[in-house]
Amino acid sequence: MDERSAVGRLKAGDAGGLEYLVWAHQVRAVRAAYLIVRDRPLAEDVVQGASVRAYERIGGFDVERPFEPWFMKVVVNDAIKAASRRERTASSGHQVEDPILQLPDPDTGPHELAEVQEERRRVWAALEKLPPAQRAVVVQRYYLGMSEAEMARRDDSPSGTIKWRLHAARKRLAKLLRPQFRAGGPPSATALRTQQGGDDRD
Amino acid sequence: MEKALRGCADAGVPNTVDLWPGIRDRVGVERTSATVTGEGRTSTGSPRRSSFPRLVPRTRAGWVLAALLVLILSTGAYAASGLVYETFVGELPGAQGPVFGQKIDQTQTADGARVTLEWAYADARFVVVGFSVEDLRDGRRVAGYPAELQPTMVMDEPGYSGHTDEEYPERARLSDESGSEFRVVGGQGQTSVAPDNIVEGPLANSAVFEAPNRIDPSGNHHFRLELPLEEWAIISMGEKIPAPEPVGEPFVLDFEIPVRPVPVAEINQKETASGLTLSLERVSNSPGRPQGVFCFQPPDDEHDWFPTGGDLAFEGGPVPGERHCLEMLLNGPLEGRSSVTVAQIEGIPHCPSGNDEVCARQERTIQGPWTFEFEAPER
Repeated sequence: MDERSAVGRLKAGDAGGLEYLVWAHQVRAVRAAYLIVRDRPLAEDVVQGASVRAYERIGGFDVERPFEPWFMKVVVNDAIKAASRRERTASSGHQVEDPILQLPDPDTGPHELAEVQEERRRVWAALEKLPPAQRAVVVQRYYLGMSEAEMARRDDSPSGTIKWRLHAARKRLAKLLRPQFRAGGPPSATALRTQQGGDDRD
Repeated sequence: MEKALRGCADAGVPNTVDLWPGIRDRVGVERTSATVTGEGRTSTGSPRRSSFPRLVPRTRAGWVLAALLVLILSTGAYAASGLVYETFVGELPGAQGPVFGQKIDQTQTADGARVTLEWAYADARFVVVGFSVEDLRDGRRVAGYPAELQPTMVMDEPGYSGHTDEEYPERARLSDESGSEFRVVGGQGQTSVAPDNIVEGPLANSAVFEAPNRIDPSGNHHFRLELPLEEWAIISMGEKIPAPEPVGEPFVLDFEIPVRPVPVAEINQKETASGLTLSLERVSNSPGRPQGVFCFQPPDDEHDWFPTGGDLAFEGGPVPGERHCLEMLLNGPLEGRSSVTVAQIEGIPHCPSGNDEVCARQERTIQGPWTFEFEAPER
């Protein structure tokens, strides 16, 4: 079965089509959702819900279009909402898991592993500081590999808005990551700019 | 960035994840005929109740987070910023008198709860309400934990109202005499922090609703606020939040208040710093969304230029029909003689996708500050 025939089968009411589509997209979808909601069970819930919605709404889907962008848009949007709700519970002590501690890469040498883990840890911690909508922009751009134009189309937003959101996300990430650069190796252009007074006030 | 994100995602979600058993149960499929092989099909899993319903508790910090963070970049949606937060802080339980608009003081009691609509404000675009929720029943518990009553407030995000309706058919709603439904775009609520730190007395809340279309600002306008309540467990740090329990029927509060024009002041001031002249054209001082329109000649065509920092929240966008002008959300309220400072103008290079490292080095910053002083438009 290929994706197009799976969509066709699903439109005809055969849930086997849905099973194929879930199998084909679930790992990437759960990972994208996970980066936004930062909680694996919640990410799985998001993708489950998006899949059920796909099942219910497949009638309006154009079989000539690729399924993944349509599906991933629902996943990302639902992940933003779920993360927003989750973060309203932040002061109630909802603990965020740390994937870095959970799964070290067995194929990496000890020194390199430490560097990789440190980089992941910094990015993971920096992502936590971003609001969910901004986190989603980073995930769409840097994990899902979408261009600004694709993001604009998918979000039904003007490209200027997407550019602005991306800029905001990059700016905040840069701010969050800069102290690490300053404390570590040689000063990068970004670090120098900070030291020279390029203060961030966002 | 890409590599680190992939690493985090891979570490957090193994490629053996299998959602199909749960999805199959949710769509009510007995069995399927698809032939699926390969990774991602190893575990059986079991359906898990969606965790969405237990993710809606509103805490003061949560509302602030929601207001300040969730919508901070969602152009077209309101980030409440400091304004409503200050409203809330100044309107703790027992406080008298409206902060915005007029005092309503309408109370209803049912199902062991008392809801009081304390005050309300309306302009052509936003309605802001302050209300309190008081639990009249002792010893309320959920899943063995002490519990308190909270309104079901769900932030409506642009374009997702259909989803929200499906997930939360029972949630706070505002409508008007024409039947128009308003969108929840901000607010705060007070909540207990832990079983040993329970707030006594009524819990204060405020909510900002955005009108679907501009309301005609002439005379009084009739509104209906529907407030369903839920019992929320008060838990300690690190504990899982049990699902809340709905309480009775939603409270329905009808009220009539004057609708004002959106308070706007033409400022038309120019300030120059680092050779760049920035003008503040006008300020809109709605409690729902204080913002300013800034115009300037872009220093070059190789970047997109935005004012940032100072008194600006990190949200804004071009003004339709006004070249070189941007409407930016302000950090906080304006009252009387006010000033707004823009810390810098930033230039984002026009970069092809996938070249962000290079692009970041091409960003430019023109340092201000540009400070504008004026009389704030009255709310």
